[in-house]
Order: sequence, then C-alpha cells, then structure tokens
Amino acid sequence: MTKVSISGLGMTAFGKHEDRSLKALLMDACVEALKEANFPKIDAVYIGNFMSGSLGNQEILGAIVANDLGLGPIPTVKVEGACASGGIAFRQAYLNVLNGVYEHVLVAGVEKMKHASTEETTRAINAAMDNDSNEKNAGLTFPGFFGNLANRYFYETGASKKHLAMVALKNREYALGNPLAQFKKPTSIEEIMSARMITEPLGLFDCSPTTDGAAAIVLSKGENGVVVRSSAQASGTTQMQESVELLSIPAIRESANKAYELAGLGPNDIDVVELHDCFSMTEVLAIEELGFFDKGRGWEAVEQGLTKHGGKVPVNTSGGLLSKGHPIGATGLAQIYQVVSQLRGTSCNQVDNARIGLAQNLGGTGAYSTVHIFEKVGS
Amino acid sequence: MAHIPVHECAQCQKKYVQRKWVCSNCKSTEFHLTEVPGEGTVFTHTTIHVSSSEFAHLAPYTVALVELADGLRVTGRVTGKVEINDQVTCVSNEENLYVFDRVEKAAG
Repeated sequence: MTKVSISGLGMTAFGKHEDRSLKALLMDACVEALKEANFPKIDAVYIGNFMSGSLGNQEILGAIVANDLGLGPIPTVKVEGACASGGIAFRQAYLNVLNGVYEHVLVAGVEKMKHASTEETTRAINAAMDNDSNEKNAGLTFPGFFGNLANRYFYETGASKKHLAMVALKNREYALGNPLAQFKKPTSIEEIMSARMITEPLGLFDCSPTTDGAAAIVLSKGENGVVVRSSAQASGTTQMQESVELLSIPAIRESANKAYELAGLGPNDIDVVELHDCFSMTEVLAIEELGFFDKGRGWEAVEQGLTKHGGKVPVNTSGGLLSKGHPIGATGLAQIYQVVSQLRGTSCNQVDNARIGLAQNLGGTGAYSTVHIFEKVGS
Repeated sequence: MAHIPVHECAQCQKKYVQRKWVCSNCKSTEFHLTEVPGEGTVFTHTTIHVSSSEFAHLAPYTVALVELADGLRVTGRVTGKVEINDQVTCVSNEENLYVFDRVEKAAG
C-alpha cells in the first residue's frame, strides 16, 4: 500500500502581523515548507482558510499560491470547514497522494484576523453556526455554545471554573517554550480565574484569541521520516438545540474511532497529542472523546496533571489554540506541524522518544472533526 | 404563554424545532407543522458579555437551552438570570426568536 510522508514543514510566528498581508504570511509558510522538501515538483495545492473573504475581501488563494510560487498550471482549491478548514485541506491532500492521483502536494492554511474589531470578528466567526435558525436570533454566539456546554458539564460532573483555568494555565506554560506562540507572558490560576467574562463561565483566558498566521506542509509519496498512519473525518450537529448528548462532541469521537481503526492503534499507543482547545472546555471534552480518559472524568485528569509531560499523554505542547494562537484556517496545519516536529525530535517542549502522535481539529459547534495519526519511521 | 412551533414527521412522528427536509429517523420527506406548549426547564445557559455587532447592545444577556415536553430542546433568550432546572415559560415568539421568563415559584 502507498505510504504518504511529511516532506516539508513551514510556519510563521502566530500573533499580530500588522505589516504583513494575508498573502505574505501564506507565501512565507509555503516557501519554508517547499525549501525543506527540497522543492519537489508540486502536483496540486490545497488551502485551508475560513474568513479571507469576509474579513479581507480576498479569495482565490489556491491560484495565488500556484502563481506567485511558480508552480505552473496545476489544480488548486481552497477548503472551508470553519476552524477545521486546515485539517480537512490536509485530509484531501493526503487522500489524493494515497490514492495515487498526485506524488507531491502542498497544503497550507492561513488567516488574518487582528485588523478587524472584536464585534466584526465575532460576527464572521458566527458563520460557523447554522444562522438560518432561532438560535442565531436568540443571540447565541460561537463562544456562547461552549459556555452553555461548560455550565452543563459543571452541573453533571462536579468540575468547576478552576479546572478550566488549569487547562488554560498548562497551555500557557507550554506556549512560553514555543518561539512561534502568540502569548509568551506567564500567568497564574488567580489571574485566569479573575479575568473579565466573555460568556459565563468562560473568561478571557478560556477563549482562544484572534490571530494572524500561516502554516504549510508538503506531503509526498513514499516512506521517509514521519508518515501519515491514518486520516478520518466526521460531521456532527450544527445547532445546539439538536445535540442529543450535549456533553459529547460525537464528531470528535467518530473521527477518532475511525482513525484508530484505520491505523490499527488505540489511545494508549499515542505519545503526544495536539487537539482543538478553541476553549478550555473543549480540551476537557476532547480528551474524553479521543479515548484518553473516561466520559465525565477529563477534568480530574487535568487536575492530576495527566495531560502534561510525565502524565498519561502530553496535550497541546505547542501551547494549543489558547496560547499558541488560533489563525482559524492555519490551525489544523499548525497542529500537524507540532506533532510532526515532536516525532522528528526537533520540537519545542519535546516529549522524549515520541513515536506516534495524533492531531485533532474541530470546526463549528462540533460540525466537523478531523483526526490524523502520525508515526516516525526508522530510528 | 407562547407556543413553540414544531415540525413533526408525518411517518414516525419525530419532532424537530427547526425545519428538516428528510427525517433523520425514517427518511420520510413529509412533515406536519404542529406546536408544543412553551413551558420547560433550563437544561443549560450562558450569559454573554461579548457579542457580535448585531447583539452587542444587549450585552450582557442570557441564552438558554430549554427542555420542553418529550425531551425536545429549544434555544431561546431568557429575561434575567437563571440556573439549571429552573422552570421557564415562553413569553414571546416573534421573527423566529423565543424569549423565556423564569417562573417564580409560589411561596410556601
């Protein structure tokens, strides 16, 4: 069977890039990845992006990449799946190499958000919900969905705001070691707990920030360095009121189970994880849905330090979306950048002897989820 | 009290609070519009302090997921603060926006 390897990685610093355009960020990440892959003949380009149209009045990102990088008249496409745009773009690229359509594919994600006001950005992000519904008219925001989830989770499990703060603190501490992360200022449980409220019970530190940034990956046919062991994707609810089990994000569970099955692996085989902590609450649910901890017990695992170095499995060693930053379309690829770096042994916050890693990317209110599993080959 | 309109599958009677085109349960494409009483309990809630430009002038405001009869859930805006399990009643249903009030429990 065809193997697919990661042959190049590129990523800009995440944060505020006042003087660099969306295009410049995208190109910088792409060139870095292509250089590392030694400029193979690229057969196709996949771009993950969510709001270049709504916030920047710029589309056709695929064609721009092919044109400005001199890749020739190859097929390109932009993939949209809200915050999972990057993960889905990666999956499309992977499947086409796996199935022999292409030999080398460039996949990149980008977002530029910092120039817009919070109200403008919140409105654009709300496009990740089904807006032809009474939920939108009630004024439910995207963070508000996760605020609702958190209050119910507290009620059913005994968890409290302090446990969410522990997630935010862990990810901030990891970000301090990541030179590309957006937030590099130390914080404390007290500061996190007393920060201004965004949507109760979620405060400022419980919510991922708006971010400018890009990440890029070259995928190549063959078995070299780090290979993709499996790729899976699932869809889920687009409205809170239709979620049968509100405290589950079934798309995460479905995509994880499928990825484990395809790889012939389980949660206990995973050495390092990047998962979609768009909110601190989401990380607690994701560690449960990915099978690392029992349902309703994720908060206890956080409290016991099981999601850090020396625990069961280090989660979000990049700093996660919460502290590395969340340039929406780039996020899924930045997660893979981190996992692959861990398996190569070249990462920030390196996990000793990491051989198998997992990246999980979520879009919307659990509307999309992708899971990819990677393995280091050779010694 | 305002009622909540419900789309009921003509074949298996599964109820939806928003229109569907195919029933996820039985694949029927026929639905009847009916309604259920706008009374229920708060399943969960959040009070939103930061919102989009359309709703920012209302902040802080509370949005709750209300469980109606038969376990059907609907999202609506709530006047004032609520807790999980509080009883609420729908006081207005205009332009696809449900507004609920907390039902004050009788003294004693």
